Amino acid sequence: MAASTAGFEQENVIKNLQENIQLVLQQIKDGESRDVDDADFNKEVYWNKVAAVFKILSIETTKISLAFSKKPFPSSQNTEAMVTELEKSMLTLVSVYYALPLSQGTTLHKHLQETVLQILANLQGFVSSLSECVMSESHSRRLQWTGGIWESVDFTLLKDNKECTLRKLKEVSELVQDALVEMEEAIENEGELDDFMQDSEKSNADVWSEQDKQVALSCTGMVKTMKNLLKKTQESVQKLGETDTREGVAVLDELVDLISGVNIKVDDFVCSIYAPVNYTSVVQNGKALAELTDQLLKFLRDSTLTKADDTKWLDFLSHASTHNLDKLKQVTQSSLGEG
Amino acid sequence: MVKEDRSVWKSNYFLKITTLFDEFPKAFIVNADNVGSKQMQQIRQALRGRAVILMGKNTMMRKAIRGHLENNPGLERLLPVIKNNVGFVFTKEDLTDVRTLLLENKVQAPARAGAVAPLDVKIPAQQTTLGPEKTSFFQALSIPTKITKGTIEILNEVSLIKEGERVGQSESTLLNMLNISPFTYGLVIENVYDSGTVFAPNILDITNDDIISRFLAGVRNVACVSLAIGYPTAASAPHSLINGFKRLLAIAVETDYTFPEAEKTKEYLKDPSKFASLVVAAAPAAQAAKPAAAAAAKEEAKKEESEESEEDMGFGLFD
Repeated sequence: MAASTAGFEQENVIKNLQENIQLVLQQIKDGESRDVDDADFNKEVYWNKVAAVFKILSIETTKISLAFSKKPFPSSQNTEAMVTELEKSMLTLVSVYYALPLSQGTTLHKHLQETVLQILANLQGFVSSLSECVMSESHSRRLQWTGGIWESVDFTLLKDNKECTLRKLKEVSELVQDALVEMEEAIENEGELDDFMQDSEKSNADVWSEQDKQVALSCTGMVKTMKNLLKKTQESVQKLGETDTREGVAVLDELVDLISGVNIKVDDFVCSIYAPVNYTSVVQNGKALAELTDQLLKFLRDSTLTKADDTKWLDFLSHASTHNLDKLKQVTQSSLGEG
Repeated sequence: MVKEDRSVWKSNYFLKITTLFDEFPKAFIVNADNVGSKQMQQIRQALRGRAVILMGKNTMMRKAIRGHLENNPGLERLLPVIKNNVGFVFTKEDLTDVRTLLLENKVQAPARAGAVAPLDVKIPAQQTTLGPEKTSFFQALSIPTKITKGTIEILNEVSLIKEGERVGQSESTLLNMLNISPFTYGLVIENVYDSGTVFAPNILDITNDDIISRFLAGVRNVACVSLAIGYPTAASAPHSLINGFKRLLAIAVETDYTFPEAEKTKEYLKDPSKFASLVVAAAPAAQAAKPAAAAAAKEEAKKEESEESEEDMGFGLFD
């Protein structure tokens, strides 16, 4: 009887902790970033503090994980004591998160937010696995989630807006490159989609017509232009991006805003070239991609990220964008005209 | 009519992806390089009832996931890892069990030209069934051979391809002629997805021993910090006690004041010859002492957390 009461109390402690993590998670996910005074902000001190809080969280989790690794499991009193420590470090995490001034950049803020959310999501998984340990003595999920927390706190944090912008550019470029490779493979396979859904029904619309092939070829040019533009942007940010002034930070944030739409546009465009090809949709997606390319080029031209000697490549890519869209319109024209 | 069917097929694919993500909380993101359709079929069969494989065009998978983010925001973390030749293995079962199934389903494969070798490939010395007309292949690869009873004999073991190198056309042809399939291929787990988090597959290998060693490392850190800032904690208390004892001992050695635990030390210092005789006595037994030393070392490893103080005490006092 006494044991079952203790089990019940323990269950309650774990449940409360779960609810608290959920609250913190929701707050960080939806909460507006409150701006804090940046006059006294010391970058080095701040990031050392963040690293320390991450470490404490990891230690507290490890402690609990060890305590629940075998029977006898800790008493509800001891569980509560450990949970209190964990909650304390969680609250410190929240306060440290909010202490990053907005002037350091939205991209950096987002990066920290994602990392903190990842830690909290792992923590949530970990706490839910504790109930499983007590109820069914199954430990694989506890081990997995403990590892998840270790991985998320050991993650190397990027510490300024420029590093974050470069990482984002790299991430976007990699997916554009992936889409381009996919496109080139599609051209090799005549636009046929693999039988990955394992349906045996094949139709004559599975492959491209001669005109489809011409359309697809002209599409690759547009994706290639974007790929090169991202490469040049990376070089520009590396060379001229700066985080010492508010203006410098803001330029990088604006850039990240723009490139955040690139993968959606490229993927939509590439998806539309598979057989059966709908030309209206290809041209529509192509126009959207070209617009974004031009927008990005204009932004770079007007920003502090390019100088006079960059005009040559800006002009070149601008011409390429116009040329590729014109070509796409041209090769689809006859069909669309007929339609 | 046919065209319509295929368009419906496209939209069905999007529906299928989102349904799978709603139904299954966990998935492996696997790389399917070098896995042919026949092998894929075998893997699907092996996993039937336990996991569902979904392959597809990356652009389509990403598009479908983006379209589903409103219902399942945790999926966003998957977007950057959907690149190269990847697919999903969805499951509700224990991840380590399904991983074992995936690892079991590897097949021997010939070394195709252009493929990157996952391991060193060696050809043992052997009598082949190839006729003398094939000698040129061996010559091209500088493999010493001779003709014995009308067939080619490879004289020594030959290291043909090194791990990480690309397989050349001649190497590939030669291995095929000798009927050697040196590589094993299967779905390679790149990432693991579980309820909105993405992590590396080695997380699934974590054991309680890893947790204990992390915990001990943490305790050591706490003890170090506590000692440095003079803030006593349970982790630093043994060190503080032993440090205190060290100081008492030092005072006892320097003054006439004594206490039972200090007697032995004082005695040694008073008459080091006693200590020396102990050393001499120990010398012939040096061989026998070796296992003892090993045991002591083991003991030391066990008591790692109090290592620093003990070392200090030992050497500091008998210098």
